Amino acid sequence: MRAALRLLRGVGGALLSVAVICGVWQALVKGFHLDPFLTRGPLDVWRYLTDPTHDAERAVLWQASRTTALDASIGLLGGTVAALVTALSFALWRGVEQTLLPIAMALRAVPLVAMTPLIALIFGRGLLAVTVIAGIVTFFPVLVNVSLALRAVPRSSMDLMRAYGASPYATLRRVQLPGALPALFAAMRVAAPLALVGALLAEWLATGKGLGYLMLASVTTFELDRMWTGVTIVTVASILLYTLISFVEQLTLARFAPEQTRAI
Amino acid sequence: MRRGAIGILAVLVIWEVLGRTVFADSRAVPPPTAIVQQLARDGFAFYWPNVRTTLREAGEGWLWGNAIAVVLAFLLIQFPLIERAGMRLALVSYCLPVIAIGPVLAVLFSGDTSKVILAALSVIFTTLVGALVGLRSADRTSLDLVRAYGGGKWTQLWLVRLRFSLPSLFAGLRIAAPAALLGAIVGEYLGAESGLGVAMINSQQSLAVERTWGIALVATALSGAAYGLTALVGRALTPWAPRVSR
Repeated sequence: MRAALRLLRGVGGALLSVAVICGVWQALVKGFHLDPFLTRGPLDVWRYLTDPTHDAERAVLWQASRTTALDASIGLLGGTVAALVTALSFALWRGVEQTLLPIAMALRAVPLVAMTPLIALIFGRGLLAVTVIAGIVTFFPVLVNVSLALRAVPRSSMDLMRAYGASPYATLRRVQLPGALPALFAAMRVAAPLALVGALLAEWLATGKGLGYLMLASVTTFELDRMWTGVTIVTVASILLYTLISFVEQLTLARFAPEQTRAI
Repeated sequence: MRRGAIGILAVLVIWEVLGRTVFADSRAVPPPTAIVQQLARDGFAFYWPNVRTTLREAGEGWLWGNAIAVVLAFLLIQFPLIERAGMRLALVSYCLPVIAIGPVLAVLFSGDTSKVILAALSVIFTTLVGALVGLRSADRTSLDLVRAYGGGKWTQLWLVRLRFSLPSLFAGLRIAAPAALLGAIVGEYLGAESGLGVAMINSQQSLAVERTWGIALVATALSGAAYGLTALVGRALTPWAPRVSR
């Protein structure tokens, strides 16, 4: 019941975001009298998308959106799983953690998405490059957040497990992992929009497929309706993804750390 | 700390060995020594104009974005009514994929303006969240004290909240440094005359592998330096803040 209420609030928040963005957008376009040849308002995009004669355009956009969604979600999930496995092995072998975690933390100071050309150079111009960049962007924040959370378990819980003679695995599974779930989703939430940007950039620079390529190619051919629609789709998708993950985060918080729950 | 240094050294050695053996044919991952050699060969004359452009764009964006974020944070904390809508707006700015609005800005603005805007957009959200968390963490009794002496909301903000907000604000500003560089570089990928982004794309497309790595290394070093500098300033300004290494 409470979960349903939360979901409703999350969806309401996402709708509010979309409304805010449409309002600001319309205001910018009309208020600044921007060049109508170059700019489109939210209404123009809606008309373009729903125009009955635009079946072919819709098919192109749909195909590209699916490619991008697949690229970004493989990267996001792959990066998360890899980070989780690494964080767990860090927790079991502290020596490895002390050696490698500082490197992972230092990498937070690196603009990873900007390294896309390098990734394209190493992994070629295929699907791999796209997923690797979206994955890397997710991997490091999740790894650092989860590793720190695995360590930050209350002393008393750890002592209790030790007193009952629990193995490190049991402690990890019963105490540390549940305690780290909120940190996991918090890191994913922040990483998700960046993973999407990474995937789009890799599509533009490496594979030449998906929305990333379609949007930027539309600029060079001056099919600006299509470009604005692409931008709209990407932004709405990004907001929805963020909202979805933050909903899951709120659920885990309510279960494992009730004192921290708050909106956004 | 020492173990971290050992870790970095180990990674470099493994990289060097792999670069000379496994990747020797594909050339995609050159050994670190080759990258440094290329870096020295290209030298100052090649890097400085690009670094200057990118730093200027990122720096201006950093200033604008953080200024907007801090002012927004003040407004949101003083007028709770608009807090939700304001947070939504900031969240939208974070979710707006820089690569998606890059072309839009590029057709609307000439020159470096589009990159500055992209860099600014990249930092607003993290700084705003840092500032808000800090402003909210203000000590209840101190706030009440100001109130008891007849101080209003703005006096509270100036005398109490601002000071309490600094550690958390600087945590946000630290992350903002690489984010601003990211915004500027991605903006350059979408078309620019000079800058690290342009240089990186050009060298990638001409398959100048060592140079691409070199540019990536320089971008990383810049961003690391900006991160470290912000952290140092933050420490100097907030000596009372707990020094956790996170």
